[in-house]
Formats: sequence, structure tokens, C-alpha cells
Amino acid sequence: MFKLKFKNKLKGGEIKMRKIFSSLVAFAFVITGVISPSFAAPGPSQSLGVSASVPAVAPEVDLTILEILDGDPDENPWTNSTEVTTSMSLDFGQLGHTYVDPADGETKDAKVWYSPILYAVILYAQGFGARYEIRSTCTGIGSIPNTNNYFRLTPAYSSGDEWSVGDPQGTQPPGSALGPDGNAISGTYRQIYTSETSPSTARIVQAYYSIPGYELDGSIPYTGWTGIPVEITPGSFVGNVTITIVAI
Amino acid sequence: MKKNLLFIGFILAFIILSFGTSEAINIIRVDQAKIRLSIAPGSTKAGSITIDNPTEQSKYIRAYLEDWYYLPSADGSKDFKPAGTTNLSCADWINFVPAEFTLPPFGRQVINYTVRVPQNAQGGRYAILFLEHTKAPGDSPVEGSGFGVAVRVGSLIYIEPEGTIERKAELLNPVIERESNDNDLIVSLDFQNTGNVDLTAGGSFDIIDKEGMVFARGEFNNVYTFPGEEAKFIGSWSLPLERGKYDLILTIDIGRALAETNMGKGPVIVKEAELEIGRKGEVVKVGDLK
Repeated sequence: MFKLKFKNKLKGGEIKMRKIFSSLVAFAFVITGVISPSFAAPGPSQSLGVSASVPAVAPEVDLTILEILDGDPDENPWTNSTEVTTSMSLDFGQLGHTYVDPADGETKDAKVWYSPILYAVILYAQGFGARYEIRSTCTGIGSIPNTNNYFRLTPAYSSGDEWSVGDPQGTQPPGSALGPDGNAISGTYRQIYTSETSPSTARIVQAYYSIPGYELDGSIPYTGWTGIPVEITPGSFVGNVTITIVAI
Repeated sequence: MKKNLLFIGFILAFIILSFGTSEAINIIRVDQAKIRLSIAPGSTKAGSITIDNPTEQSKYIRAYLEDWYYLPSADGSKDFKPAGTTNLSCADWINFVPAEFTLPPFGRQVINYTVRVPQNAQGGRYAILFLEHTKAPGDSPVEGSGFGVAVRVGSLIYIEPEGTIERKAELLNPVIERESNDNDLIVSLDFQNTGNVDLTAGGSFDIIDKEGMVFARGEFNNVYTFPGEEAKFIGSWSLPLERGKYDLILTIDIGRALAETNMGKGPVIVKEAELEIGRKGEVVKVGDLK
């Protein structure tokens, strides 16, 4: 009797449980169907290959030419200079052979032809990660013999030069090198700048070109300088400077 | 009034802070820094180089070949000579078009070239194709006393007649110097390109004991040589070494030029020498290279 009563109670509860259970199963099926339309067991994972390559493009160099008329006493080409925008040239104008000595204000003979104009060629170099070098060569000016050492190239680097306002390039990288100060006309291509080893970084380099006279103290401006003698035949003299950038 | 002052101040600040920046004259972009081709003697191969003008100004471009060679420093620095004037020139093997063109703003130009290798060619040959941005014909010349400025980008060309290339080198005269553990240990080694092709080489040294435990390691500089040329590897180690007998292992990869242009690897030269270090860390004895 007890069993029957109990069983009946159980049966009622059992029915109720069965209903609950069925609901849960149905719910589980619905959820599974939403998450995974397939009721098949999950298969092995798939991997997708991804590839990309960076091409070894040639290094490139952009340039800005600044004309400096005050001798660049602060060694900053960006002050008291004018950007040359009309042509890619370094026009030193009419050369002179006299100067005003600041010590006594007297006009004196420089004993050579020279130009007070200085040009800073600002080079923006990008090696795209590969090591690169920038070199300069010059054919000399017209009929002035190249045995006369008179055209100066002075490479320089400024950590304050900026790629954009407020973005200075920072210190010169270890392993990079500037070329020496000296004659721009030589038998081999003159080094302006060689980058650090790969991966190289983009850099702003300054190359000053000038036709200097003696220093105020009478010394020569750089080793080997002889200047343009005042005895040369008058006329206009033109030449070419070629700046080369190439991968190492 | 305050607003006007602020505005003027802003303008002044902008002018003052425009230090060291300027609108540069963008030049041109060339899609290949180096072209290395393996071509069977008697055969011809064609290719192309693409030049882009990323600026608003049109550019007059002159394309021409020259020779190049490594400077004695062997650090990759080069000099350039007129085409066909050096012993290892391949400038005469190369034809290309066009030689002169005007790149319009944001324009592109493809230069097509062919390389014909003579039947009897052996060993590596070299040239460079320069793309020079310069004055167009008819532009006004420089007046007074002055210099025109031309800027050029070069694509280095390396031609290897297939089946004739010997990539070989000798490692000579190892010098290991150290007075004490207070100084750097310096390892230097002579390198001689004994093959018939350019070599870009680099590597490292290891100092190990008899059990193969590494006690020191250093990298050498890369060297760049043409056939027959010599260079020097230099490496250093700054940390102390205890007294004892070691082996110096030199590993030099002479195929880095191939790896650069995805043309392969190696070969790699491995040499070793016995090394004895003294009580103060000084180098006492260096054996012969084997």
C-alpha cells in the first residue's frame, strides 16, 4: 500500500521531472543549434598560411638646398638662410677677392677668388632597412684646373634636424659615418654619409658646399686647399655636382 | 584683444618652432636596389625596373650605366667609373629602354632591360644602372659661377654566368690579442676572395673548452670583396676568460650576397685553432688554423 502510494507520488513527480528534463534537452538542442548549425562532432583544426614580403627597393634621398649669406657662424643652416626653390643649383655668383677684416674694419686682399655664399644641401635619406651610402662627385668649374683645390665639401649631422615639427632625428647612429671635410673635387666619389649596418634608419644629413678663402687668422680652410688664383682668365664658370645614393 | 594676442602668439610659435624642417624636393623611387642574375653563357635574360615619381612636380630622368667596384676598405663602399672601363664590367652586355624620359607628377615608368652573356663568359660581372634626376634639355643653365646639382639613385647589377661561378675564400693569419682580463680580447683574421665572383662575407667566433662549453662569442664585421681582393675580420670579447686551454672556432659565411637577393645560401667556412689563456686572462698561445 505504501509502495503504491509512494509510487503514485513518484509518478506524478516523475512526470513533472520528465517534463522539466525534456524542456532542458530541447533547450540544449536550441542553444547548440544557435552556436553550431551542425550537430556533427568537431573535426581537426584548420590552419591558414599567411605570407607577405618586403621588397628590397633602392634607397632614396630627397634634398633641400639652403643658401647661407652670413658664413653660418652658428653652424645652423636653418637660420639666416634662404631655400633655393627655383632650380637645383649652387650659384656662387660673382666671386670676390677682398674682404673686410672685422679686427680693424679695413678692406683687405684675400689673394684668391672666393665666394661669401655657402650652400647647405640637406639630404633626407631612407634606406628601407638596408645599409646605404651617399656620395658626391664634382666635375669642377669650367677651365679652373682641378689641380687647384678650391671647392669644399663639409658633411655634417645635426641631431636637432627634424622630419616634421617637433620630431628631431636624434643622435647619429653608432656604426654610421660622415665623410671628411675637404675637396669636393677628387678622383673618387667623396663620401657624405654611410649608414649603420642593416637595419638602417632614415637620416637627415647636411652637406655644405663652398668656395672659401683664407681663414681670418690667415690659415687655410682645410687640408690641401689652394684656392682659385686671382690670375685666372675672367669669365663664367659652371660645373656639376652629382649626389649618389646606393645600397651597400 | 586677448584672443588676438593668443592668435598672434600661436602664429609666432609656429614660425619659431619650424626649426630644421622644410619642404624637400622628393626625387624618385626605384623598385630594386640590387639585381643579381644567373644566366647561362650564350643566353639572354630580360627584366624590368620600375621608377615612381611620388611628387607633384614632373621629373626629367636620365638612365645610364656605369661600372662600379669596392673600395679597398672592403666595407661595402664603392666608387664608380664610366661604363665598360673596368675589368669586371658587364655594362656592354646590357641594353635597356628608355634612356631618357619625363616622369609626370605621380607617374610611373618601367625600364625594360636585356642582358646577353657572351658564350665564353666566366665569373661574376658588374654594372650599375643610374636613374638621375637632372635638368631637362632646354632648361636655363646655371649662371655666374656655379654648379648644377643632380641626384641619382643606383640599382646595382651582378651577373653570374651560370655554371662558371666559383665561390671560394681563404682565412689566414688569425691574431688573438689580450693583455689581461682588463682589456678586450681582439680576434682578427685575414680574408682572401679566391673565387671568381663577388663575396659578401661575415661570421662569428666561439671560444669553447674541450667539453664544447662556450665561454666567449663575438660577431665579425661584414666584408665586401671582388675576386682577388682581401679584407680583414675583426671581432672582440669584453668579459673575462679563466686560465686554461680552449678551442677557437671561426665560422664565416661567404654567401651573404646570395642570401640578400634570395638566390641561396653559403658556403660556410669553419676553421679552428687552439687557444691558451694565462692567469691574468692574457693570450699565451694561439695554434695554427685547421
